[in-house]
Amino acid sequence: MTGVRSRLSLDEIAERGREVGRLAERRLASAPRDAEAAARARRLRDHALGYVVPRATDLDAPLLVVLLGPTGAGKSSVLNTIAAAPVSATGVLRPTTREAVLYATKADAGRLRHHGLQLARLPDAGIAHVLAPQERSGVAVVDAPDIDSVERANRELADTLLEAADLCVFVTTATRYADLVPYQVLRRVRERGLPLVTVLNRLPADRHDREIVIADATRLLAQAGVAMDDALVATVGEGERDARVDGLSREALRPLLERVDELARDRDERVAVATAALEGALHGLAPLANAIADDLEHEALDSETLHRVATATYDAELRELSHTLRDRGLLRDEILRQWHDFVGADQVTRLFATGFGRLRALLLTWLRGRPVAPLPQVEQEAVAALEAEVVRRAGEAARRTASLWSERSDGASLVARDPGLWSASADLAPALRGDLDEWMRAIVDDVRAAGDRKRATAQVAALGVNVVGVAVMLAVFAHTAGLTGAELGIAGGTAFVNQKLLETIFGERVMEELVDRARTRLDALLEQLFARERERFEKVAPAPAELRDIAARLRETVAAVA
Amino acid sequence: MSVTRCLEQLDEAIDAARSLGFPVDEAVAVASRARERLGLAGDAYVVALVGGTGVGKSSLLNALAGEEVAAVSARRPTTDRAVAWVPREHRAALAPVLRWLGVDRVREHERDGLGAVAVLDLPDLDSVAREHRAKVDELLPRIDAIAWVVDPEKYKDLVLHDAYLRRWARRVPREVVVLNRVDLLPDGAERRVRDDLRDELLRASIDAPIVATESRAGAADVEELRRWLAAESDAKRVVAARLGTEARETIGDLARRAAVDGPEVTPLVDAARREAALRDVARAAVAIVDVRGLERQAVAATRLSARRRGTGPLGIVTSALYRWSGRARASADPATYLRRWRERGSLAPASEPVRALVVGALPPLPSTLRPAVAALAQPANVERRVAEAIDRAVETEAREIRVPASVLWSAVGAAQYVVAALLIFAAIWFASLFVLDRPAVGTIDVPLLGPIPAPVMLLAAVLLAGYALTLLLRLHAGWVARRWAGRVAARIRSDVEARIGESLFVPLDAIEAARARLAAALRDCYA
Repeated sequence: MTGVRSRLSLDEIAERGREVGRLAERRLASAPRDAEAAARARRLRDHALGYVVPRATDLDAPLLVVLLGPTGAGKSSVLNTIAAAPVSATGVLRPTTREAVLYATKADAGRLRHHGLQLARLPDAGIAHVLAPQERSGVAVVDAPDIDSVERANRELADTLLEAADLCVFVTTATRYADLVPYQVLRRVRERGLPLVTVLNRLPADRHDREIVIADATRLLAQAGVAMDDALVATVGEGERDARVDGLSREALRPLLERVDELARDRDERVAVATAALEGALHGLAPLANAIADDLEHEALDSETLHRVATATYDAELRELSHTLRDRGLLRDEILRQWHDFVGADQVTRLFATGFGRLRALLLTWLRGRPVAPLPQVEQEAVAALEAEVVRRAGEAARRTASLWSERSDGASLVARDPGLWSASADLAPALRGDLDEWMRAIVDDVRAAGDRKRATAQVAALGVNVVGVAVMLAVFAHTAGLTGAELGIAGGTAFVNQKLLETIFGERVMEELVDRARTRLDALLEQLFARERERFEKVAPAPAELRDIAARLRETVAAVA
Repeated sequence: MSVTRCLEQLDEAIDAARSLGFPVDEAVAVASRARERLGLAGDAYVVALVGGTGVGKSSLLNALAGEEVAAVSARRPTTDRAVAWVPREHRAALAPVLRWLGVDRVREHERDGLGAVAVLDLPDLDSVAREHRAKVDELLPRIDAIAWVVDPEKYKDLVLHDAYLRRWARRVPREVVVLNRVDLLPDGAERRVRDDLRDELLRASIDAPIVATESRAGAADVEELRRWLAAESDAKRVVAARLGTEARETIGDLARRAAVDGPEVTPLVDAARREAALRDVARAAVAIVDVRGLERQAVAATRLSARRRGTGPLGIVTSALYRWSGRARASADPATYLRRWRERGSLAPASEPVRALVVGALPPLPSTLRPAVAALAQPANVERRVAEAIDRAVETEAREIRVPASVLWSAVGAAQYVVAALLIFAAIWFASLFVLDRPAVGTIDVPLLGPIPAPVMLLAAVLLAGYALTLLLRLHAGWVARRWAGRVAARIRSDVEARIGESLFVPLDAIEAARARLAAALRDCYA
């Protein structure tokens, strides 16, 4: 009994409509790049949720007639004529109507506004209700605000109403009929398959001029795809007004009035119109949804490029960072000397010295006591130096990414939103410090675990587990890199004695394992920090996978409906 | 304000903007257009009728002329090519301007009192014929004065207000808004519409006069517009004001991109924070140079020098050993130590204060200026500057390093020789006492000093003297060394600081200089 020519039942159409609406919402949440793309997504959402779903749910719901047109064209006058009473204010100041005026019976208005029907999506502030007499039941007429004045909100409201309509009455004038903006709206009316009635108002008094205008307007409308056979045209001359109702002359609007009366009288006719409008609406889904899918795919490509730029930059800086940590001295000589003096002191070398050296060391230890390890200095210095290197590299990665993004039109607006993107995030340094603390603790735990050999246990205990931990940490940063003896500077020298100490305690294999594990953990930690830094950029640019997913689902869903 | 002066300032501003990396094509176009216009007739000007389709631009022109100058029709849009209406006597003067505008439809008239002005009827800017709008966009930048034409139906269209009035009204000082076809309004409504229009214009800070006209066929009333046209007879002033205003607005746009909002420039970074950053960078740099290590080297070098001079015959041997073993090179060579500062740590901490400073300065800046300012924090550049500053400071200082010497040391050295000689003498004395078992001279009387024999006394005294001399040398050398090392360290510290101060903010100063130039250009153009 549906009467709608579609492979799907009405319930299925409603379900698909809801799905399209959800997808359009997701699209809106994905930060469309420009106003046009956002408007398209809004249109699709309004169309699917504001029309397809309610209409497919209830073909018998009141028919919604929407009066659309440029400012000052006389939409309110048309409504007054239909209502045969001054229900919508007209005036000389533009734009006159700033909220939609709904002319319907109480029951119809209630159904439209509150039962999930076409107008349920409008904000309450956007619409005023004027009570229609009972014989108008079944047809609701909305006087929409203009589409082209300085009040931008009016245009948005009008667009939403257009998507919700079953029948559109397009009102224009002899001055306006060639304006560009209304044709953009009319194109959507055609695309959406909305039945259309055109009212050409304010025609010149001169018969010849009048004919010229009507012929020319007909030509332009035909160019826009509005064929005159299916669009009822009412023409009204300048000054042909009905002062009693503050509207246009009934005589001139007769074709429109008769149509509205007929719809109010005849339920079958209403259902027929609703059915035709729904069919048109289903056809209208595909072009719009596909245009949005195209938008999404383009944005996904661009976003991917942006993501790639960010990834490449951050990776390069991270590589540079590990390079620095590995090949160049991280710690200042001044600090290394302190460590060298400690580890190189006889009292410590006794642990791995033999013969006379061992004897001397024992004697000195007995005489002077054990030297105090410069633990806080070395630890502080290591953390500070590492922090400086990491912030430097991460900051430069951010700056370079922001700079590269700024050179692209799509990236520039994203970067402009957040000046923080030009540098490393403020919480990078604290996060790094926290991570390094944990890293040090992990090293100490490793040392404790590795000290299970009897000799090692004693020596670790003698030195203190933290001292050995710092020795492992230093081994990660300072290498002898194959140098020996006199060629070594203080850095190499320190690395040498440090390594010797660890070798004596743990043996070569365990020492290497310890150092390797610490180094791997450090690399992972830095990688994670850089990834988190990079995510700031990725969060600003929409996720390509999400965009692609919406696009694919949109195409699939509307293909199934058509 | 002279136009040429303002155009020179525009060139200056373009140059400054380019140095900041801003796109300047539009500003360059403004400057060259203005020079073209200046080269053409200055004693006649062009006013254009601009507005949407159907507001009656052509009818208005016809009403002014009192005859049909531009074709009028009910068909929309009507006018597709610009028509110029010019006084016969100024035809010759206006010909090059009209040629420059590309207007070839010209109608002459002999009406008096309107002055040396060509009235141009332009195509519409809002119809489906998009090429009309393109034509308007092409001509508007070259027009001297504008009459915006609206009517009661179209006076608040978005396209007119947003794309045209807001963009052009401030750049064209001689302009008027014509509320045409007021005859369509009911009695008493004209005032309200006019006020509504004025409010909308004021919202965009446009205070152009509004004149009302009627363009009913046969009974047109365009008196107000005619009066506005006749009110200005000095074409030169109109042209100069137009070109000057646009130049000034263009400079203003460039300046705004550089966060310059008026003649006074607020520095991007305030002086206190800048000083603090400078101090921090200098401190980090000094930490890498490692002044304490330098002091140690200086002390060791001084001691070495003192040992060579002041320890007598033994000192020569030990200091030679010290040198040959390479220990002198490693730990008593302050100049080399200084020169090799790079091996002692990374410069990353030195670039951090600059980065923090720049990050703090970024948020309030317009996004156009951010790339240039953010580039200041590029660590490679900052570090290069710091490194160069350190290099220069270190090089100067290293060349100046002269390990101090003291005559006292030489005196001590001489005394040590005497001590050594006496020691040898005492040794021989002792030896002779033991070796010469049977001296030829019978017994040898060893002189006694009190209860102690003289040779013992001598030996002890000489040893004591030697020890005292060594101690004296050590104390004195240490004292001299520390004083000298302290001086060297202080000099290095202040030198590094001074040189970093000179070079660190050179790029920032370049940006500030460009901003100052923009502000000066703006100021001069307003003067």
